[in-house]
Amino acid sequence: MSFVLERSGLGQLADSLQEDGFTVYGPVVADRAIRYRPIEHIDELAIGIRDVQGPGTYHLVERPDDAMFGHTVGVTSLKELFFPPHRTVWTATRDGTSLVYAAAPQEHPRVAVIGARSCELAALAIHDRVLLGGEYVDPDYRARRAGAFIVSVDCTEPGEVCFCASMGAGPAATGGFDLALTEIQIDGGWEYVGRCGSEIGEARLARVPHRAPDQLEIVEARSAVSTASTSMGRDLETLGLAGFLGSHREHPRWAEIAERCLACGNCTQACPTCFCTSTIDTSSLDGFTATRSTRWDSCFSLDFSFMGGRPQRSTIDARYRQWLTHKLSGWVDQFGTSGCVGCGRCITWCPVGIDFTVEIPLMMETVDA
Amino acid sequence: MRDSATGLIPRPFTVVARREETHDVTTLMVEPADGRSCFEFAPAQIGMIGVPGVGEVPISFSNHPDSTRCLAVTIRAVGAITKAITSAGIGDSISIRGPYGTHWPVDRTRGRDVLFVAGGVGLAPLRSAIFAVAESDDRGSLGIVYGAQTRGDMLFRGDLEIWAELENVSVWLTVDRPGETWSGNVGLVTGLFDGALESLDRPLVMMCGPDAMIRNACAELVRRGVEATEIWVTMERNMKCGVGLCGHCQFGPLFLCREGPVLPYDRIADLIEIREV
Repeated sequence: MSFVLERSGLGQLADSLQEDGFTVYGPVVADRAIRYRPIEHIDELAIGIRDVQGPGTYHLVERPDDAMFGHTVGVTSLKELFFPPHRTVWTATRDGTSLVYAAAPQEHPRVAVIGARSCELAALAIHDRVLLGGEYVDPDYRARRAGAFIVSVDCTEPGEVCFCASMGAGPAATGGFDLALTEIQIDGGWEYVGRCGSEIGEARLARVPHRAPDQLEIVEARSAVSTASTSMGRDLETLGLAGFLGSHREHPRWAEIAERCLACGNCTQACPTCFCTSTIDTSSLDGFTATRSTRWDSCFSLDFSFMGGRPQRSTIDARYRQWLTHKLSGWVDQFGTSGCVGCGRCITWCPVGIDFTVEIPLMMETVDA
Repeated sequence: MRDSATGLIPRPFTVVARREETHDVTTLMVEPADGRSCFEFAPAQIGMIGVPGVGEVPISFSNHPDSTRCLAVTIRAVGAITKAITSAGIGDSISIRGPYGTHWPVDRTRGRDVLFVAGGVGLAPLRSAIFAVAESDDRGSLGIVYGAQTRGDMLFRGDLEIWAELENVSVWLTVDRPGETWSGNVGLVTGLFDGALESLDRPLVMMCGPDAMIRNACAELVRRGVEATEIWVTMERNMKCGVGLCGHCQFGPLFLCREGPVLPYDRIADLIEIREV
């Protein structure tokens, strides 16, 4: 079912979610970047702002118009909402001479997101497979996901480092949303041509003023998305990619990349699908309670592979290779999907601008067919 | 589907006995302290063994798999966590969760000859399988090949003597550094294959030891005509969760907590040749 919201209707949609107890997140300007933050009103969104991204560079500029979603993805992804950087797993309490272990209490705010991009939804779908698809599941992630309401907005102006079209992850959302919108401007006014993705999406829509789209609106929305899909800043040939990387772990290019790589781990923190965690064990000063928590980890740290008194991946080229071959090759074996959605964050937030959409073709060029 | 909310919560165990196996390897015998029965595990399956507030390490249980009251964990004190665990005294509490991962193919040994190959502390994850196979009425001849740095680094010397006395079981030992008290074989475990394989007919192989030993010994066995799919090895890497969620134990495309620790050699033969996978 397709529909049109005016900007005022979008505001009422956000209000209705808040009235029902959701914490509504949307892309705002914070820390001189686009970030998902809780909003009270849609006026707080990053209206009239465009982001300029490139390898190792990011800044915001004013747009000539007041588009509400005229920017691409920010530094952090929805990962931080559904898979927070720090979580408590259990606590152990001393009871006389014995210890009692108990799971950490699970209390989750109901999260609504307005303005999620299709690459973000693709990343969530990947996390669903990783964290919920196996024999053991992550109950905290499951609870956060189950209560969420997601309004996606299709990308109509992809950025310099975007390649979601190569990864089959955008620019239009194909699933994983409750409501999906395309922002278009007609006669100087902003409209949101939308579609429903779930029953709760339809029910929510019924509570805000909307109407059916006319032919012009449908054509404008389609054309905005199809223009976007052919104007990606980057592209990556994925045919045969997983097999190539999995079978070229000793390619000399890994060492060349490692000469530039700082092993800072920015790419893994910015990546919307990197899911590795480490554990932190602490005990109270009185020695009566101990706590196990998890935090995001990075395969770029020496500690990540530490075993038997030494790191198993002591060199940066082994660590960069681990990250990229896992993301684009091992992931396919493990979860039946690539671990990349083409959001480009690893390119932008790399301090030295390493860009695997450039590195991989170079690697392939120097291998005999 | 299992909630890792339960899979990740450890249980308290009390140390009921300790044995110093070598200067840096200790076996702890532990009993559940929460009133519940012991874990059931299959040989080589992993337990995450820990000290609250300090951390956990993955360790294969080393006791007889049919033991219902106690578990045994044999641990070499290398880092902060293993030192904390092995310093636990009788009556102290340690944490255990599991069991996780794959196990030795004990059910495939019926009517067959079996070669066990261990290096150093690698005999610990094999011990429960050797117990299970050696006691079977329906087994073939067994060879146990074990190498350690010195005689003093050999684990379970009492067990080795008992196993050597069993019918159709031969035990082959070697050390890297003989010292003054060792008059036996010196060198790599591969140096014992001539003798060990002579009495075995197309054996199933179970091997546990350092990567370098697995790399060389597996290649040598394949060179001698053993099928790669008939050689089962354990692979170990850093593990945090044990249930395929934390990403640490990856070895190429494998999660060793899930696809391992026991794998047929053909699944790792290419990867183990590559530096720092």
